[in-house]
Amino acid sequence: MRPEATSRRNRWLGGPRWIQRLLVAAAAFLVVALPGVPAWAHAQLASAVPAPDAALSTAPAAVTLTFNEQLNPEFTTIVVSDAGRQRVPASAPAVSGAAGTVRIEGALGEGAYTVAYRVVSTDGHTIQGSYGFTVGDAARPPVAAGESSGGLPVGVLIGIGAVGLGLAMVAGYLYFSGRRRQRGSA
Amino acid sequence: MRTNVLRAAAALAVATFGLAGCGGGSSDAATPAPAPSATAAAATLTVKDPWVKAGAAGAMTAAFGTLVNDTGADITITTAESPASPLELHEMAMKDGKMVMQPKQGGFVIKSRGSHELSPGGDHLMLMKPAQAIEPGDEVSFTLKLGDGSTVPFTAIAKPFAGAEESYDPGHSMAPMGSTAP
Amino acid sequence: MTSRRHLLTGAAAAGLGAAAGAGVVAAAHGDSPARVAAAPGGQPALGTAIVAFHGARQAGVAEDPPAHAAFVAFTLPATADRRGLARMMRLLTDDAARLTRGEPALGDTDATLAPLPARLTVTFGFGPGLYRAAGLRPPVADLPAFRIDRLEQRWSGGDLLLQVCADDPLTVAHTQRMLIKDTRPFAAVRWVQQGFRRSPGIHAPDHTQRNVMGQLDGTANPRGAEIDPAVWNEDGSTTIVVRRMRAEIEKWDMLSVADKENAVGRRLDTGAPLSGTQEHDEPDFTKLDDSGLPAMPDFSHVTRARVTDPALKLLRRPYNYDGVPNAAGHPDAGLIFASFQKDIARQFVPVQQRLADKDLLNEWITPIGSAVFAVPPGCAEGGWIGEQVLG
Repeated sequence: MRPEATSRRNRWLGGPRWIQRLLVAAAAFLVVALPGVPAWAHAQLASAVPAPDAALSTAPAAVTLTFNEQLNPEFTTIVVSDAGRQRVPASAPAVSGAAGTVRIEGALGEGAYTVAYRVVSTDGHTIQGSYGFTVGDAARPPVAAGESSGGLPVGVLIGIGAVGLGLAMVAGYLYFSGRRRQRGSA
Repeated sequence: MRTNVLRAAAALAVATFGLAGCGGGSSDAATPAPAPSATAAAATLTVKDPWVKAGAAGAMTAAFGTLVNDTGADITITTAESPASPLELHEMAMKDGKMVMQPKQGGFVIKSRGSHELSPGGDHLMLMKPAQAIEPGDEVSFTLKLGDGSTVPFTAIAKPFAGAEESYDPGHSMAPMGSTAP
Repeated sequence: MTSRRHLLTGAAAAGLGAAAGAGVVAAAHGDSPARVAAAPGGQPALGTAIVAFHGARQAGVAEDPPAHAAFVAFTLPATADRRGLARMMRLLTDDAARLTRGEPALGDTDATLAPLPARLTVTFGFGPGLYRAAGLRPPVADLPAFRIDRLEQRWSGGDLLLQVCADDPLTVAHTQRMLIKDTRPFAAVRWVQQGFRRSPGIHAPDHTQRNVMGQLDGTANPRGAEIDPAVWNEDGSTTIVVRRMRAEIEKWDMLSVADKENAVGRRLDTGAPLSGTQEHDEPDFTKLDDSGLPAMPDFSHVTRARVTDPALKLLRRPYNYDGVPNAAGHPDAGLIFASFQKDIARQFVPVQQRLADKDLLNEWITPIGSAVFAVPPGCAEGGWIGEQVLG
């Protein structure tokens, strides 16, 4: 095998050069694109009572959601629905600082419930999400916990970001090591 | 030229559609233009698009428009009158190398099937000494006297033509808005 | 009461008279046949299109809005009186009637700019101050102060409004110039707002315009027969509200598409309500998503601005503005909001109050100018706008 051919190989991963290029491109894209994804630094649910996936023996009288940022009371929506997706009668959200509370009117029967929220952070981003809890012996909550900034769940975004950073580091290493190798073999 | 192309098209369209409340353009001699306009004694002479330059009492000013002769014979305008001011028929003429304004000897002659334009910088009806200010938007009546002794009345709207000379300061001084129009 | 105003398109005129008219004109003026024959084609028809000025109602309200507009407001001096105002309106009516049919105004020093009216309309509005100057009770009152307002004097108020619209900006410029010249003896220019929409031929007819924030703007407008009960009074009058809404575009840029859609309540691309799939789907405020949240956010602009009673709708006729960016490159852009309605207090104020109380879009739009005017009835040929009020 001739030296030039060898130099085209990625020794570290053993893959051909186009894979390197693809990785560089993918990493570059992610590095450029991710700072524009708004979910990064904005409000998100910090804690909740009842907690996500809680299995309660007694029905809660209220739901309180606490975020990591001040809420705008005008733009805070919190709804509680039963397993039949019927809205449970509740008060309008009372907002205090970073927390919003709805009082549930009447007692919740046994069953699975979903808490859904749509709030707006002080910089105008909408955060919405939902989680479930159960009262009594009911089955698991019908709706999996999730949070989104209008689209992708935060977890997904963070995952993409982590993968992107990793890719960027790998690609950077490959790029510079590849250049050193090329120069050395020329 | 372009204007006339469009006028023709517009007039045609209007005539064909029979637009409610909207007659032909002012180029249509049979239909008076909106606002103050020109009329003629039985298809002899028409004054199209007449207007008069607004001005202060006592200050000379002028009236303009297009004189249209739809007849088969030349028409001479010998004199003109207005309740607003004594009038003279004026022309701009070259005299000793300069353009000067002077009374038109023999009056304005409008050729058969022709027209004669009265415009700023050209022939015009001179209002020698308006008794009262002619305010913008006033309607001033005039009567043209023709060579055959007949008369053609018309009404002209006053326009603030020398707008650039006006000094206007809101809230301070301003010409009173009283009207000299009847 | 149906409108008797007709739009004379170049095509219509051409269809009826192209051959004969072209022949006459060519013979009379020696125009080349090619130049004249171009009129029935695409482009020149836009230039020669005429919107009739005379009629029971003023033009420039119910017609599809042309691409360019100038809103010119004037201040009357303390000396203004009814007779003077009548003279002013006679003069301006005469100018408008001529210019809108493609003829020069009397004493027009740039007569060559007149022949392409391009759907030119001139609409007159009378502010409360004009009625007071005439010794009359104003039929319109200044808007109440809204907490979102950041009004600047230089964009607010006015005794007389001229709304000049055409599909060509040079036509608008010439008309604006001519009308301002003839208004000078009577009133001082207070403010001028120039705006634009998409150019003719860019969109299918009946499109909804997009504003500088990328939103479809005007989807909920009354159309066709819905316009009359919302806009026109028996006597042919109406009212106009003009508000200058600055777009905080740099902040708007920070949002994701989903954030923007939540603020508006519509998809940015299709304009469909978040509860539907098509632009003209009726928003369904009862629809819930899988988690139980209303599909239409209760704080979105569409939710808050919703009017269901046809008689209470607003006919919005807005224009975008885009001024000169500052040194930092931040735009000076937004919307010249203009709406026509029978009754400002009954129709406009409640909507604006709801939006001022709660509307997520308020985070990115700021009212910096505001003015109200009565729009008097139209006039017949030989008459003048305002004759019913000032005559």
